[in-house]
Amino acid sequence: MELNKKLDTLKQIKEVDAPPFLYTRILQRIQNLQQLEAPVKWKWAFALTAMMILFVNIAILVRSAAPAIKNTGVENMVNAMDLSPSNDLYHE
Amino acid sequence: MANHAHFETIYNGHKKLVYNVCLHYVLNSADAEDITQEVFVKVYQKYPQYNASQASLKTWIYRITINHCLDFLKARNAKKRVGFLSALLLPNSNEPVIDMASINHPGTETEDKAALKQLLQIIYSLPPNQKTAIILSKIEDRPQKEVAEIMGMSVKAVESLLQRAKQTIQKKLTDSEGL
Repeated sequence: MELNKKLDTLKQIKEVDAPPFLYTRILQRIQNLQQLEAPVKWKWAFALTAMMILFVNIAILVRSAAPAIKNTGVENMVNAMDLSPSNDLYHE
Repeated sequence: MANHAHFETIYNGHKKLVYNVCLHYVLNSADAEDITQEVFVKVYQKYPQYNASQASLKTWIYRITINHCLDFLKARNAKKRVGFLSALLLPNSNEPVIDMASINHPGTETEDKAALKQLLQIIYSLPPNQKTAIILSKIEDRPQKEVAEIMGMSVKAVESLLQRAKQTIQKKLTDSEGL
C-alpha cells in the first residue's frame, strides 16, 4: 500500500507545454525530406532502364540456352571426302 | 498527407500529449523535443496508411510516440555500454541507467522533487513493457483498457506487467533505503 501511495505521487508531475516554434521545425524537416526524395521523372527513367537491362539479359540467356545449329551438310561432305575432322596438321 | 491545415489540426490536438510522453520516457527536455519532431514527421508520412477502424487517432499517435521513445532509449543504452567486456562482466549491463543529475523533466518542479526524481529514475531502469505500462497508467493516468489497447495486449497482460513493475520498483526502493 505504501508503494501505491508513492506511485500516486507520479500524478503530481505537471503537464508541460510543447516548446514554441516546434511546428515550424517539424515543417522544415518534412520539407527537407521531400527535397531529398528523387523526382517522379527520375524514378520512371530508372525503372525503364532497369527493365531494359533485364530484358536484354533474359534475351541473351534464352538465346544461349537454345540448341546449337548442326552443320549436317558440312559433316556429310567431310565424311564423303574422307577428310580428317581433326585440327591437327600432323597426325598419325 | 492531404494538406498542411489538416496536419496542423492534428499537431495542435496532440503536441502536448506527444511531448509529455517523450519527457516521461527520456527525462530530458532537449531529447524529448527531438523525438516529438520525429514523431510528427512520421505522423505526416504515415497518415495515408492510418486506418480509423483499427484504432483511434490518439491511440495511433500514442503507439508511434512510444515506439520512437523506446528506440531512442535502446540506442542511448547501446552507446553507453562500453562493449563486449562490460556485457560479460557486469550482470545488469542491459539495464538502462540514468543519473539523478541528468534528469531534466520540467514537470517535476513540485515539493517532492527529489522523491519524484528517484521514482522516475527507477521507472527509467525498468524493462520496456513494464516502463510503458507504468508511464501510461500511473503518470498519464490512462484507464487499463486504454493502456491495453495502446500496447496491443489484453487487460490481464497489462495487469500482470503492472504487478511485476511494482515488485521491481519496491525492491529498488528498499535497496536504496538500505544504503
